[in-house]
Formats: sequence, C-alpha cells, structure tokens
Amino acid sequence: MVHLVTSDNVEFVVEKEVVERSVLIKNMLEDVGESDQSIPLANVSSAVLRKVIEYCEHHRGEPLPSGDADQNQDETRKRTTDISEWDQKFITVDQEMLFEIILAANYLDIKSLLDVGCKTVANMIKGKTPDEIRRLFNIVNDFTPEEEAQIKKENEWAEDR
Amino acid sequence: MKPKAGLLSLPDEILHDILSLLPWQDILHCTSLCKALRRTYMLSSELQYITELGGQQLLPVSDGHISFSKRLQLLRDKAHAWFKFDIHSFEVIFIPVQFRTETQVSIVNGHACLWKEDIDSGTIFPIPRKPLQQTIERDFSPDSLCSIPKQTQSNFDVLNVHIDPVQNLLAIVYISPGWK
Repeated sequence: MVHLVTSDNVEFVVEKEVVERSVLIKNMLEDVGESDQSIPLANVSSAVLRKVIEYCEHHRGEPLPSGDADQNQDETRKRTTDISEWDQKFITVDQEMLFEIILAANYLDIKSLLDVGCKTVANMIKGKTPDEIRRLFNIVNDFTPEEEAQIKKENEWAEDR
Repeated sequence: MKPKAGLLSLPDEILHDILSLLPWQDILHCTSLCKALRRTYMLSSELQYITELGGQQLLPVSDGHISFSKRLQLLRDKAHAWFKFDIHSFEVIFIPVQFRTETQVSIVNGHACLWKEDIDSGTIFPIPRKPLQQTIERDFSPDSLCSIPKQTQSNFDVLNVHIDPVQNLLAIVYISPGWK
C-alpha cells in the first residue's frame, strides 16, 4: 500500500497497482523502493485526489500508454475527441474541478486522464462563437481595440468558409 | 486562498494540446479571445499548420513524418505558389474553339476548367490577362480520374471546382440524382 498526503493534509492509503497509473508516483516508488513513508502531494487537494484515485481504480489493470506511441504524430488519431462512456460520466464535474483534475493529471503524469480532460475542454469550445467561449470560461478580452481590429482582419479569410 | 482554477490557469503546453484537438475554425476563434491564447497559437507551428491547411482547403503536405514547423513552411510555400496565379484577371477569357460546345465550363480562381462529358476528360488552364499570353493545358485521361457514372451524365450539375495546380489537385463536386 502507498500513503499519499494531500495539500490539505489528508492521508490516502492506496494500492500500489492503482496509484502506479501516475508515472510520477511510479518513478518515485521505483527510486525509493518499498517504504511506509507517505508521499506528499503539495499541488493536489483531497477533493481532487479522491477523483483521481476513482479514475485510477476504474482503469486498474489497463496497460499504460507507452511513450513511443505518444510521440507518433498521427494527426487523425490524435485529433479525435471521443471519450468513453465511463470517462464521460466521470469527468462531468464543475469547471473548477475539471481544471483541477487536468492540473493534477499533468502533475502526477497520468497521460490518459490528461487526455480525457483536454478532450472535454475541447468539446466545450467546439462550435461556439468567441463571445460564447469568453462567457463560458470567464475570459477577459485584454486586446486593445487596435489589436482586436488587426486580429479580425487576419482571421477574415476564414469567416465565410 | 489560491485563485480558482480556470482555462487560463493551465500551463501553455496543455492549452496547446487542447487547441490542437479542435477543428481549425474553432482554433481561430480561440486566438481572438485574449492575449494568452493568441500567444499559444503564435508560438505553435502545429496550430498554425492546422488552421492554414483547413482554411485554405489544401492537402496535407506529408504523412506526418516531418516536424510541424517544416510542414508549415512547405504548406506556406505551396499556398504562396498558388496565390501567385492572378486571381483577379476577369477581363479577358479565352476559350479555345474546340471547347466551345458540349462542355461544362467552370471558372474558378482565375482558372477555367473545361469538362468534356462525352469523353470524361477535363482541361484546366489559367485565364490569361491577355489572350494566350501563357497557357497551361492539362489533359486527364478517363482512366486517371474517377469517372462520372454514364447514366447520369446528361443531368448532373457541377457545384464547384477546386483546382490547385501546385498540388496536382482537381476536385469536381457534382450532384448526381438517384446515384448513391
């Protein structure tokens, strides 16, 4: 069993097989060897880690994606945003949690979870107007009117396609 | 209390990965949202490649074994060559006598495409500013093109013709009633 301590000081005890979906933790365990010492995760809160462990539990036993496959820049394979049914349900959370999960997956190096998060955000953006996207993600337009006019001009060629 | 996590709190490489999953129109929308996303776009050959490829209706320049920055350069070279064709020369259109009957004539981007239905073959040439200043002719034998089903030849409508001589591309979009 592996002991993890979150940023808000909550201890989780997780099976090694489950937590090793995180490449970060897997490498740590390989370096340190078997130990009862808890691993501090200063960037992850307990609410987020609970979700991450739920994900790892569900995908227990599935092979880890190999590094080589990720480097293969196959456009059609990479650019699909399909998400499996369970993952879809799992990732149906509020926006803050979604981004926290993405950040945690990135920090813990869980490639498949990071993919699910990125695809979810991409699907939220798809087909929306710039104004709709700004409202959805609370993005402040920080361009000067001149810059905005310039961008509009640059993007003009694409508008009527 | 740390600030709430939001789209822009993601590191640049994750923003990049998210954008790279999007169709090119959506990528362009994102570049006009704020400075941070615009920067992500401007720093990425991959994102620029995706939007330029899609926006200009070009063909991918390779099968993915060369870097995106190299691919973007190749794409821009090809697009540039394409734009060197004068697309505003509407003044004079010269159509050779042999094509003046029984052919579909389409004028696209300064090129005339003459489609001879009876022999299933097309000819493309740029419309010169002055008659016959320069002419490029390409004849395609019926075997080298996907032929149009014979029974519908009499009543198909050509919707659009895309020609890109640089990429050796000729695409004819047509409606063929009852043909599925």
